Amino acid sequence: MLRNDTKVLERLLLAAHSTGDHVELANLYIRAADLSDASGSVDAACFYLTHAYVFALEQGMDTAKKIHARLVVHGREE
Amino acid sequence: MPKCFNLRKGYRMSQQDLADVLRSVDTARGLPNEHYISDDVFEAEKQNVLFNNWSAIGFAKDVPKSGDAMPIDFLGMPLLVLHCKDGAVRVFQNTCRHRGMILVEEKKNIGGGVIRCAYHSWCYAQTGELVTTPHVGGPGHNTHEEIKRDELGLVEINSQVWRDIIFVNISGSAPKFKDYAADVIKRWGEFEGQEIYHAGEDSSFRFDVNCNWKLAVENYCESYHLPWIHPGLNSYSKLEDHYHIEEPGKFSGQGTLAYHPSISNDGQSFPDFKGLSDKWNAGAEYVALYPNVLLAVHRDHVYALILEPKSKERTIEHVALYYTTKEATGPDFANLRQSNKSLWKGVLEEDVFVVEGMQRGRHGVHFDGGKFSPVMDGPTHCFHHWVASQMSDQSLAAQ
Repeated sequence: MLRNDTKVLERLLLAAHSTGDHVELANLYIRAADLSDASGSVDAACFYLTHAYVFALEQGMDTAKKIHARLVVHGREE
Repeated sequence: MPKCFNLRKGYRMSQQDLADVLRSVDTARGLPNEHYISDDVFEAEKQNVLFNNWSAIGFAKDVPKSGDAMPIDFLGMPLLVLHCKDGAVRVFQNTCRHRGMILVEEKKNIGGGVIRCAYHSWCYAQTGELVTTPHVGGPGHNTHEEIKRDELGLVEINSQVWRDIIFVNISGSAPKFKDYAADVIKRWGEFEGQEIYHAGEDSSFRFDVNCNWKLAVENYCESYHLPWIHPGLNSYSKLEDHYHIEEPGKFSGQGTLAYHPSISNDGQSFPDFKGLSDKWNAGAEYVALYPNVLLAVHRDHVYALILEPKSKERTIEHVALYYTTKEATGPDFANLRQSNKSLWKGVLEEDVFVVEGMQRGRHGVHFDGGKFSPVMDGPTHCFHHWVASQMSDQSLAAQ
């Protein structure tokens, strides 16, 4: 993950946590997972995907199914 | 679930008094004072009377939309009423299976999403299944062989919505609701299955009353007090127009032969239910379905009063009025609804000083439970008998 991208994401994540915008949190954690995937860090990607999955489920977002599939591929979800 | 708990010494003594309650109304005494002022008996009644039977906890009108989630504290038991996306209203124990955290703190709408525990984010489907357990096997690992999701769903409480009232049987030991309430359903069969409509704020009210919840049941059951407490009724609904309703072990109440529907100054009246027999032209009935819901049926509206026991000496009465058509809940009927609400609020408010007075009277150490009128107090004794039978040793109740 690029350093600048990480800092921007961290700021956005903190802001979304602060305002309780859980749809935004799901989307931001997907971006964080994508960046981790791109840098070859499966554990970090799955950590972020887990958070994205939780918030997507909570918000009833269609994307939850796609996130679930990614976690299953890595053996991290049933 | 045991029928009786290991009651403390003081309460075991009052088992003898319960034998007096279980006699016929001619010779019976009322429930002993402990049933109104003792913490121990309040706790025992919580289990034996309220949790072991079908108690009312709220109205479905308060969760009208899919995804509406309403936490209810019922005698300390945390419950979650959920209007699920499949249309069903379900009741769960409002407790996460992980660390026991309360799941939903305040009424909200969760849309089509899951119920997420705010502590470690375990997530439950609206049907109760455990959907995900984030990081349960370590960071980013959401499974573990010892976490068997199909064994860790939310605990669903037996529930039933009838006439918009949400009933629960917390112990799970009662018969099915339709069997439990079969006789009152049959009695009011002409109303059964007919849609009822609630109009919102102008059709609801509540009272916060300083009395044990049972006193509200007892007062509601009988017509004996009407001429003294509700003198306004005397002009059109005299004591002799009333009759007793007694279904031992199930419900009791009173009926009137002189119901006059609300009519506005310009002659407007509420539409009637469809297909009613002549009995209901001037008839109306008022029944306490044991343990804690008070019901009324009239040809043009019904109401329900749910008794929420807050403590041994405090009860909240939640009243909701319902009408027969959607039109009757609209603006054209607003004035008539307001008038009808004022009528019932006034009548029920007249009972408050009585039930609060009886509560204070129950601290009289020489009061022996009271003497029933064999003629006028049958419905009240019917309720006392039922409570006593729920609280007695089984051998005593069988006598």
